[in-house]
Amino acid sequence: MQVASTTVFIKSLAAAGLLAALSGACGLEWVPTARGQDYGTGPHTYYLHEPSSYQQGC
Amino acid sequence: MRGTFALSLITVGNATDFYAISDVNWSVSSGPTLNGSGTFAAGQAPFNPSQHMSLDLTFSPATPPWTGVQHFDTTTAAGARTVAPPVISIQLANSETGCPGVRVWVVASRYRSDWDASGTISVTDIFGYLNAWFAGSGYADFNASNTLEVQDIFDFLGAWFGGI
Repeated sequence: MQVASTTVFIKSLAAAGLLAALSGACGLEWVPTARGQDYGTGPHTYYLHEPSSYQQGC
Repeated sequence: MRGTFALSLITVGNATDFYAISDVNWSVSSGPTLNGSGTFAAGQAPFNPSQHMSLDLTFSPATPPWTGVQHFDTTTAAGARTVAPPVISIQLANSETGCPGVRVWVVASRYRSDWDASGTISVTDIFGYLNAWFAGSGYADFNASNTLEVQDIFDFLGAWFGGI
């Protein structure tokens, strides 16, 4: 998938230090962002909200 | 359907993070209680919008034909995230065909008083709750007393001010 391959490509650049080198050449400071963990490390209690629902049958 | 579950990070992948779901405790109005555990695979925002949840749930009391542990999986249509993390909105079913089957829609936030499930506690949650309370919504029975009463409003406000 194109999105996934782009992600892998960007991360490979970061791993190789190329993003840092490129940003440094442009006078920019390379600040790595936290990878993933969009839902935190937890454990977090999650509460159901409307419109959570349960439906049985056909 | 209302209740709680716990979410814990297992591992961070290249494009997907994997979480454990535990202590599922959901109650259905005039229906069974669902308990169990499972996993949640979440694509890393903003590049990967995929999501997948698997749950093994038991119904109490047992609800034939769904006796014993029932395996739920994300339905195909719910495989893409529609809300921003850390809010979760996902639909699951215990049958590929859906007939007969059970389908659940999980919309969850880390805060009980986050009434609009936006991921943060804000003033709009108060207005949303009051609208639900005056409309007689079962969700507005905040203290789960099976009665909609003024005490529900105070309990909601207590949670809201407490950042819960």
